[in-house]
Amino acid sequence: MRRATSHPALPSLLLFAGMVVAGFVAMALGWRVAARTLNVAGQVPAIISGGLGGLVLVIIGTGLFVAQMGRASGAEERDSLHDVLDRTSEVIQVVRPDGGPR
Amino acid sequence: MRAGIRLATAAFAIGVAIAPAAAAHGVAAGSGRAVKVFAHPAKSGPKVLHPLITAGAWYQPDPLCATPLGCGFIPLPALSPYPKGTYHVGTAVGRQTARAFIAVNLGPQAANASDGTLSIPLDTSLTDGSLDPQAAKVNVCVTYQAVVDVEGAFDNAPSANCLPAAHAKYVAKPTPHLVANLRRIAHGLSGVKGFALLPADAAPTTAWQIAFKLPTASTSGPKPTLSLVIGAVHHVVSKPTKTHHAGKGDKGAQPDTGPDLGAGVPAPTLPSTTETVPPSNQQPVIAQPTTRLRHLVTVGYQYPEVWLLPLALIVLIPFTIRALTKDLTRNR
Repeated sequence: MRRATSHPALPSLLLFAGMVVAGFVAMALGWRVAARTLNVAGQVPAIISGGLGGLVLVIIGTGLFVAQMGRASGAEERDSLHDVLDRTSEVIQVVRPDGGPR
Repeated sequence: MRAGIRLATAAFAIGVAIAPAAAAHGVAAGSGRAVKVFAHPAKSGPKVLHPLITAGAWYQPDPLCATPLGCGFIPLPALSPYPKGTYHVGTAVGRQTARAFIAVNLGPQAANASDGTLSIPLDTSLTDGSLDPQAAKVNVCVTYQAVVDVEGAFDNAPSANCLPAAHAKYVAKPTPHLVANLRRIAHGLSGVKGFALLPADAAPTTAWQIAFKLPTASTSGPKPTLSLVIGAVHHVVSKPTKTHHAGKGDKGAQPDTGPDLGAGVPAPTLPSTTETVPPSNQQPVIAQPTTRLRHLVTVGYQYPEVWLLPLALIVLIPFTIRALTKDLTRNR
């Protein structure tokens, strides 16, 4: 748990997820504003700002989130690889009788 | 006996023959005296009625209308910052701040109205909410919904039909009052339950508010008066002008947009239907684009918070670039 909350990618992942949520909220508000009036001049801005703006937020947020997840996963693999190498180095030092490099 | 039957038959035949003619002339026969059952306005001439103003109401914009949540998202109770019994119509910095309704008991004869006048004495006291009433430009529209006596309500205002609308003017003497010639709306008063008083001009640079009272039986003071002319009144236009359709008289007519009091919706201009112009005198109507464009120009954003978006982008873009380029491996 502590490992997850201290991950370097967590703030950015939260931000990108927030963009996705904000996009859906914008679409809902756009629909609400457009639906409460019959005035087309008032509906068009609501559709543009809410609908298209929300859709763009969802797409960009999702893309960034997926990209950052990929980067975070790669970083996790590198961390694991470094851990394996460190452990291996420690084991080698333990099993060698002289304790130093040949 | 036979002579009596013949006499009765003859009397019945005469009655059947006379009854339609009598009815056509508005006279009913057979009750011992002639009873006038109806009178055609064209024959009896125009007459003036004074319908009673029975109630009033005024509404103010729902503050939630300026937010994406929308009007009425949270029902707010009526709250008037002005003295009880005062009703208000006003605008400030391009936004409608108050609209008023008055309930009238027109009766069936109003369907034949051809003209009329609405006079509303104004309360010019600052403490009662009056602000620069000389600048007031008010549209008088009709409403077909019941007007509930409420002061300062945010929701459930009756919908007003402002196509067409009558224009009310401020008159200073002998006492300040608002006078509206109802000729433009007099022909559509059938079924009307009240009048809506709406700001006609919501210019960004003007701010005014009028206040008026509706005295009850227990209170005194000048009373608003409504007079309707029933019957045919011939309006003659001597000089039809080019601005007849899109001129000054129509620039303030605004369609009602429901509870959203703040929306400045451009008004489609309608030709006046009450003034008759001989076909030979009709001239091509030349619309004045400058007059229409005045209504299309809007100043500012409906949601001023939109100015925060560039600031958010200034913060978010560098943060995103930094997040996508920094090393995500843990410090060891």
